[in-house]
Amino acid sequence: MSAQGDYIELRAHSWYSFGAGASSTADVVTRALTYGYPSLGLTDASNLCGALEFSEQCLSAGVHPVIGVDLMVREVEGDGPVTFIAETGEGYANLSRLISLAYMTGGRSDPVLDGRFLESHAGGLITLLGAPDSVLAGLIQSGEWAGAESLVEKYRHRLTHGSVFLELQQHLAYGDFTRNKRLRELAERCGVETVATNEVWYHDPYRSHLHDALTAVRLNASLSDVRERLKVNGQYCLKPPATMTQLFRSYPEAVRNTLVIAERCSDFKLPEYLQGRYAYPECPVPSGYNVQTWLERLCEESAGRRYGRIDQKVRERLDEEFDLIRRHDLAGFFLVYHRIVELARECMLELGWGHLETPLEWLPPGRGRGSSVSMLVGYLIGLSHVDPVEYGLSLDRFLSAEATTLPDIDLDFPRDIRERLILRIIDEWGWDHAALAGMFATYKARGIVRDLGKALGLPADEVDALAKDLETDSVSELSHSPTLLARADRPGWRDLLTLSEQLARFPKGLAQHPGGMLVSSTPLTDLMPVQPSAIDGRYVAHWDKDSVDDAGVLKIDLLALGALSQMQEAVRLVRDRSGVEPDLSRIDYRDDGVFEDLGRGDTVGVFQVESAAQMQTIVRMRPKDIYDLALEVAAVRPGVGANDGVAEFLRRREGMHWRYDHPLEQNALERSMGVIMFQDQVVQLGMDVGGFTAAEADRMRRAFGRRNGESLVASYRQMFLDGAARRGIPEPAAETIFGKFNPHYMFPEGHALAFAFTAYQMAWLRRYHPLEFFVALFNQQPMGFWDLDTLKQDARRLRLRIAHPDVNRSQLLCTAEGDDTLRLGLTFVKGIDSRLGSIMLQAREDRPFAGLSDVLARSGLSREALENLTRAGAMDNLSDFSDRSTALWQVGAGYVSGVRRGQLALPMAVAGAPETLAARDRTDRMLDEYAMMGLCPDGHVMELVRHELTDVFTSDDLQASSDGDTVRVAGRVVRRQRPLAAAVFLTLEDEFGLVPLAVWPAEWERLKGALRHTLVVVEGTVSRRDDTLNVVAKKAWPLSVNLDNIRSRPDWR
Amino acid sequence: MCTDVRVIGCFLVTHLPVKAELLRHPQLNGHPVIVTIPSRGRQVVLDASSEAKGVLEGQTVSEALSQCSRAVTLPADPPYFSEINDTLLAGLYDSVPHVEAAELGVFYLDLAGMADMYGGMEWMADAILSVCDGRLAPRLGIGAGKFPARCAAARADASGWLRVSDDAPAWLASLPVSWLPLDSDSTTRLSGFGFRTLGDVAALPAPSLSEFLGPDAMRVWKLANGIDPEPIVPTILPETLTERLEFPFPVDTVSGTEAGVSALTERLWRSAVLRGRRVGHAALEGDLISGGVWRFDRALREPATSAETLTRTLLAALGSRDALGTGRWPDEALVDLSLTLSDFSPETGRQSTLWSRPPRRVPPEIAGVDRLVRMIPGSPLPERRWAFASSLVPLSRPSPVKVSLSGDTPQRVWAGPASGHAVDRVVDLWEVDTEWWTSDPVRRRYWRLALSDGGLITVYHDLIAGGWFRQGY
Repeated sequence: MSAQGDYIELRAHSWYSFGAGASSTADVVTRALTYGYPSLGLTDASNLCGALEFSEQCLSAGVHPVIGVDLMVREVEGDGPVTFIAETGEGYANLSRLISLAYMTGGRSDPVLDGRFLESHAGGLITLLGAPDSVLAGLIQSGEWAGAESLVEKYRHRLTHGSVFLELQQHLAYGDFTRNKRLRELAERCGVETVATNEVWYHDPYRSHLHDALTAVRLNASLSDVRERLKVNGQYCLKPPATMTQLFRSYPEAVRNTLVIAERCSDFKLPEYLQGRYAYPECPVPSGYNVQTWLERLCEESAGRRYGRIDQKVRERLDEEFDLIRRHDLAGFFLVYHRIVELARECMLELGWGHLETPLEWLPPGRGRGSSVSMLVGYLIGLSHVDPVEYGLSLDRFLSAEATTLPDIDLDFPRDIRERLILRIIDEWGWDHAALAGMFATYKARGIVRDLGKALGLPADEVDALAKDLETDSVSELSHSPTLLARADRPGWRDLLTLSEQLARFPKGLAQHPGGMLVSSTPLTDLMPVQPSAIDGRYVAHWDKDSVDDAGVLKIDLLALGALSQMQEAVRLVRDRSGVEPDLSRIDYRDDGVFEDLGRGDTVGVFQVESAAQMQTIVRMRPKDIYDLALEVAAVRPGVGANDGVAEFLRRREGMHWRYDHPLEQNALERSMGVIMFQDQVVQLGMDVGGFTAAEADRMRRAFGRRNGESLVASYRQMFLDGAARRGIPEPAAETIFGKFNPHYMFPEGHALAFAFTAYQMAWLRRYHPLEFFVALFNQQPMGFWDLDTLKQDARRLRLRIAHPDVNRSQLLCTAEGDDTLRLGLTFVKGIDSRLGSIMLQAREDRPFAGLSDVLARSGLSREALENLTRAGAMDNLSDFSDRSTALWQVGAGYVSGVRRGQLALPMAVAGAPETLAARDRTDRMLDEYAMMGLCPDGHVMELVRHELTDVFTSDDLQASSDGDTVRVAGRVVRRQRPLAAAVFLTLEDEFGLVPLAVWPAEWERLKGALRHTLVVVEGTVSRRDDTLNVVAKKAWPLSVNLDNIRSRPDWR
Repeated sequence: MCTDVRVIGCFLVTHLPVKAELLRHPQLNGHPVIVTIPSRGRQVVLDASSEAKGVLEGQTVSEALSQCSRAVTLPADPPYFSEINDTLLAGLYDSVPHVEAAELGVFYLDLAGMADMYGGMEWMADAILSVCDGRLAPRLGIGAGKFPARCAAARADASGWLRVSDDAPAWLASLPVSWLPLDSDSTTRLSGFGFRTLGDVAALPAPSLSEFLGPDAMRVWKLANGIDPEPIVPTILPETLTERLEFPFPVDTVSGTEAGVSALTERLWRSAVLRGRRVGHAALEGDLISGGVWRFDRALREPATSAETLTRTLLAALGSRDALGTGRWPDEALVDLSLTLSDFSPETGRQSTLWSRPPRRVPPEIAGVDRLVRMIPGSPLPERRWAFASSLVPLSRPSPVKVSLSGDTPQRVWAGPASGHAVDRVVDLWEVDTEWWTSDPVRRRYWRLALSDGGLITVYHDLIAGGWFRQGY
């Protein structure tokens, strides 16, 4: 078997051994290939997260993958690591089950397997005992021979004959020599074999420092604090077979046995094992039907309700889809989704939404996103709210005739429905058949600096300052960070720089996918380990979406969409206040008024089109119909912007002359004027230009987005060019077209349409029910874009009044009063959570508070809470209120005198404030309100400083400025964005509106210190282009007023 | 004699941490110095010298350094600061009969009748201010109560004194409300209402304030009006002093026990309590290896005035025999040893200046006789595992050794002055690579060798600096 030596490494670890493994699977495989290993074992710690990825990389490199795991096992002799290797498919399934059991019994963060489980789950497994930290090594070291023998015997009894090996390691560590000698003696005495390993933690010796650092990070301590837990030297790397043979020259049988084990495992290949093993759950169908006919029946009935009469166009589309579904045997697949939507509907009804009598497709509990929206069947069984027939959506991206993998259907739900639904699905199928997909959050620059800084023992505040200086996720920024360069010659800091580059993109640990559910009729634990999630009641699988996809396991994306929660609440408010519930599926989708609002950029709070970048493009795009809106939604995506696509598209739309790079582009790109806006267009170009089948073209598209997919992209590029050549397309043109593809995200066309509908519905609500729209928007915060003060400013521009919270009128959340008043809720006041708010509501249930003393006597709140309410203006309407200063004094005095402790049964006047007490002026009140609520209901902070500002334009003044004018503007920094384009975009807000700022990179380096303040003055040049307005910043100063109390939330996007 | 007139002094050393550090690091005088303490995982500023412009207490080090990049940062040494404080207390007791030690660097003095004794207020103040090194720049405030005196001290010039005028409320009126002993929340709330000075608070009707601040209000109102009836509660100087050491191994020799006694007297004499005082009684006690206790105590006919004299006296006494001719040294090996001193009396003829003596050092010959401390017990480097505490002398220190090689394998080892021994065989081989994140990285290859004389030896090759060393492992 061996070409280069007589040794095979069976115990390599990858970066999926979180907090220890210091090389990627690709690094390890590549190095193994270099050394000529014909086979290689991966035994990550307590998981199989990298098993499939590793297997695929090995197989494509011509190396046979051996899959195993290091698992902590509890025996009566103690807890210690044991290595298990899958010899067969049965062994792999057992491995997966044992790992799952270790998490179920040992706990999410400390998986420990009770050794007794091995009695029933050891088939097809090989085990290695005796690694340095193991129980067996401990027994040998302490001279407990009888105990050691008995432990080996126990494993011999549990596993099949010849499947127990004692593991010899030689890392040139003190004690290795003696331990190996004794292990061989023990093996001879027990009649088992020895095997040599190098317990590899990194592919190259230079990564040993990273391994040490990761160990410290895992233990949340500095390297100096955990010296005893570090490996003594850097010998734990993948070594050439010849080196290993030489190291173990005294133990030739142990080296030989590496080949024996690898040979025994040679029939097991994980990708082959997985083929055809997965089956999605079967949904029961009425007698007389099979899954196909039942699905067709459901669709026919729904189509009758949807269309009244099924015309030829619908008929043809339905027949086409039924045919595809039959061909790919997907009827059961769609019925699973249908069942999930039914479960979601049950959740919706439990939450008090909808009516049992309303057909599912009329009021679906969620709505589809992604390419699945192009499926008419989905529209008819409640998976989507977009009619694909009406909008001519193509099926190819979602389901082609040649498709070999399961199609992808993503569903969006309001937050509360989704939370229930996940648990309901697990209840329906059981945790071993339904779990969330895993996800690997990867290290980003700031996290790397903080974690490594702590591990290296660097001063925490200096590390924190360095981390805060970073503006992007890329560690390359560190190499020119002045803060770091100034320290680069000091020990620790130098290592920080080196190790940061190595740690970039490492997975930090297993997390749960935001919404990807796996459901299976085969137990999931036969395919991959499953463990409890950090959230009670949920379970998460060890594979991420890529591995799940490769394994052909159905992943159902159930995503929480705040906008749907907002829409749901707004509709309910309209219903409660007017008695009529607007049916958003039947509103006029060609309402000029709504499109005028959108075209003006009046989009604060409107799903998908409210960002500063979107506001800039939408005023140029001026959408006239839903498809235009879909283009707008799709335009501001990294994948479109990467090649200057947005600007190019806008220029073409505004009349610029353009032409295709080759006529064969027309079919794919006609609808978006030659610019790639959608994923579907990449697929179509792959087919039309590269000559791919639809399935191949989709795989090419996916290759761009895969982790470590560079080599895959390179091979697709060649295939694309070859295919184009066969079609007579000149190579330069083919190169140009392929160059338009990029790894950044863009929407599928159907997805953009689905979102466009939601965006339109939100814009419609904003226009016709602004009060309900804003109440819901306030209540659903955080929504990710604007903070409360900006939302409030926008609401005021729509002539809504934002009323202070009121101890007698406010509910927990915001409410609508009259035609135009949004009453702030009690929980919007700092320190008042829903528990405290409920106490107050309960206290006033029988009768309203008569006055301040009554509040003190009956509210049951602490002094701090009452003071906060007073400062927020919640006492302003009480009968005995004179001013907030006096009220604050009275709250303090009343609290001290024991009124709130119930010593006075009847309300009585609280102590009078001293005569010398000064009333709070407007500035005090406003600052109090900012401090208590993050907004001032009836004013803006800029009003406080406006009188100090001379020669400073307001946002209103700016409208009269001309291109090229030099102006000064001032305001609160409410938004910072740094898209893929180099410029930084900021949004200032003053008392009249928003001011968009653009800062070029060179200026940003100079100005960023000033622009990080809450309030700033900026001098710059007005840039007016195609109805957009920007101030290009040249100078900036912080506005020096004492506004420490203002809560600000500038985010990077 | 009873008097109604309360005269309270407040002896105040501001910025004691920084001043204390400058006393032992005089070369830093004139430089910006920051003393830091750990707080929630960060180092924050405890104190800063006046040269450290813009640096505030509570700032993180990075914030402070951004204000003053030249500043020298020193970690706080609380035991040392306490020692300075104790010295000040002892010194003040030489001048004033009743002294209350409050927080670090703050002492209240009962000065009733003292001015007459000193021949006037000015002479008294000078005498009190001279009890410590002028570099500490103490301040003295005098008033009818602790609070006014404290305020006066805070307003006095460095090394100067200030007395609150007879109209204490008027004198105090302009001081900020933050000087009142209130929690920061109450202070903020009072300021929030516009009551920013003691005068503002004093002008409030007491009941209003009482309603607002609760039980503390009346006291606060009185303080703002200059009324502080709290008495001086004298701080008692310690009556006995004890030090203890653990031997790193049981000591059964006279010289070992002598070294222990010497180390203990040296350590005890570093205590500020003994400055200017004599010791009349000493008691030794130690645990025996068998489990019993050995004791020896002696009332000194001539009270000891220094560590040297006490050591000499004790060793002489231990070396004598009792009436039955029995020696006084312990019969068995001692595991540890403690020394308790008592019966303190003032040293005659002592000048009331502090800091005049050179700092005491532990003589090198007794440096090793102290408590064995764990350094990094699990370290792969033997010399970093254990040390003696007083001087941090590591055990298992490597020593240079000459090695001849065949290839990279030792052939012959010269471990002493002899002609060396041939290597019979390599018993074990291992490598250590650690401390790479520090300024002192270590990479060694160890060889356990069987020598031709039958002995075993462990040597290593320093893979960074080169050279061969022998080391116990």
